[in-house]
Amino acid sequence: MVYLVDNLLNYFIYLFIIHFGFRLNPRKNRLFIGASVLIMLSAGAYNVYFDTNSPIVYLLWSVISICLFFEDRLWHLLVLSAALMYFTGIMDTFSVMLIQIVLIGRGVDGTDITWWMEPAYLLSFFVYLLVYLRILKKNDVYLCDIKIKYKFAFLIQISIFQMFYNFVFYFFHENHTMYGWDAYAVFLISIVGAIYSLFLTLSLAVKQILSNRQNKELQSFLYMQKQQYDYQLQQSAAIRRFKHDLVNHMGVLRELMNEKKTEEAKEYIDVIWNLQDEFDLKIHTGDSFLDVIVNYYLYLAIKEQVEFVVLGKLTEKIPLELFDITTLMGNILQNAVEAAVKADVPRIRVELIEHKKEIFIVVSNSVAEKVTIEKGFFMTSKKDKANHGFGLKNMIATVTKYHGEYYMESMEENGEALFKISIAIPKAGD
Amino acid sequence: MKIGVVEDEAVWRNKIQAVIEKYCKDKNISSQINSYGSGKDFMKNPDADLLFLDIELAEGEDGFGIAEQLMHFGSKCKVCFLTSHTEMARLGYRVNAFRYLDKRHLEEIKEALDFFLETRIQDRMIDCKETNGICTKINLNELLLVETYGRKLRYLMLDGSEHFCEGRISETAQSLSQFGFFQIQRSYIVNLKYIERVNSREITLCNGLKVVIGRTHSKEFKKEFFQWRMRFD
Repeated sequence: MVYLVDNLLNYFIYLFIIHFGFRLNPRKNRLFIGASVLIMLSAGAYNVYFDTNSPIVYLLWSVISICLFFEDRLWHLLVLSAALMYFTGIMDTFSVMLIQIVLIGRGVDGTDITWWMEPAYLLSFFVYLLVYLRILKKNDVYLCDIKIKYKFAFLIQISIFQMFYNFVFYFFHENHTMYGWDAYAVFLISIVGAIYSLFLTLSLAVKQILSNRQNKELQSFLYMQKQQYDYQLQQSAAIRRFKHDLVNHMGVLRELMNEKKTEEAKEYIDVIWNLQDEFDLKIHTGDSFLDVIVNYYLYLAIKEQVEFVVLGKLTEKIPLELFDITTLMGNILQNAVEAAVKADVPRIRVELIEHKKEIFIVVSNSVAEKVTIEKGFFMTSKKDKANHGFGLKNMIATVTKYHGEYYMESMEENGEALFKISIAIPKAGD
Repeated sequence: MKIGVVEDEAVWRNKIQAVIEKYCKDKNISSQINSYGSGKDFMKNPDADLLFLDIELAEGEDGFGIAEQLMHFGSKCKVCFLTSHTEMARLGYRVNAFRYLDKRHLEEIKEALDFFLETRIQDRMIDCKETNGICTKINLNELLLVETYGRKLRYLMLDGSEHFCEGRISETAQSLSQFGFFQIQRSYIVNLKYIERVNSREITLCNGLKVVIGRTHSKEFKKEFFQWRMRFD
């Protein structure tokens, strides 16, 4: 019976690590899930019947069960399941040895599956849970984000760890009667040190991801700033050109007036009037910095043939620092333009609503198809998922920083797919 | 619905009035539209639910000044400022305008009217059968909350008066939900308009009454209250 329990516990551990650690989702087709469970149980039953623990059977059931359960590329699942078996195998042996030491004060010979294994699985699971909660979930980093070279290095380190603790356990097993409490102390220090070094490696890998992520955020922020700056430069150059021509225009007008050609002069003034209108900001939001951002995206939208409408005006400045306005509005409008371009009827609508205590910003844009929702969060549809999807996260971080509130909706209106973000920012002092 | 238009230039005044009249006719809304050539004329009898007010009026009159006077009198009139210079909109720090409209884009008036009508969804009476058999009309604007009271429903009004009526809380919540009411827990429906403070566990109404937010209603309440604040606050 212990074989069946063994398979079941291992199975749950695999599912936990792959789903929470690697963020892979189960297959939608329940037949695959059923087949996966069935294979795992059959292997357990085989082991019970023949009273054996065949490594080949173990290898087969676990690889096939994992491949059947999760939705991903087959080669990826094969590599993942093989690496996972290697890793969990080491962890489980370690846990068993540890439990033996703690419970009976020495190691037990023999590799057969006994009742030692079950608490050992729980201990291993506790370690995985700890890693997940304290490192991965806390930093919003997952094992799939870690580069392959780090994963490989981690596996090698685990192997070294295995050799090391085998030695430590062997030493302890042989010498604990001779050295007494000293052996326990050496054992404890060695094991704690080894575990700490593994945690440290993982933390470093995670920190590297976080720092890369921050770099990318800053790069994207700088890119947005540069685009807006280029647009302003372009506007400023056009104004300078107009100013330069103004002298000539005045000369022409003076001549027309001298010759009493009033009608022609009027027409000429209209032409100049229309010319200067070009340099005017097209949208006035009430916040001069927001004007710069919104007018830049209006310029982009016109270039991409996207209809861009801004409704409402503010009577006071948005209570956000300049950096945060760019992060918030730049990301939202950038995403909106990129998504709207792909829609049949490309359009963006920005609504600014000001109330006594809050400012509401609502941006809706047409999209090619309804946006996918995963675990209540909108995922990036860009192919390079590892490097995208920060825009919305940054936007959320900014709203949260100012104690604001936000909602994202994916909807259909008159057969048209829309994506809508609504944000409330408390006014300064509230 | 009373709509006022204050505009010193007759051409614009007539154009604006025509747009509003057409809107009301198309939507079959009974309205009384009064146009004024100056702020002084309007202030003689400042009676309007929605006022379209020019910022730069003749004889040095200033639209912002008029709006300030209205605020000072405690008028609940919503003000839409009209201007042909969009930069002027930024000068309106003193008053919280309902809308700033560009005279060059009079089609914006329709959107402002749509929005204004939405804000008045509680301007209606509902029929309630009191336990003594009398049919009472209840003004939704004045209704603070509805709660279960034994087998009856207690309608608590803003002035403290109450009505005990027949009905089921879930059905009442469903029929009132479209008018800015929300069933915040099993036995309470509150008027979102009168929520003064909110924390993660409870809300405080304008009369100081605290109501605990039901665990299952919490997420939906947050969203509904957000929408309400955005549209009607």
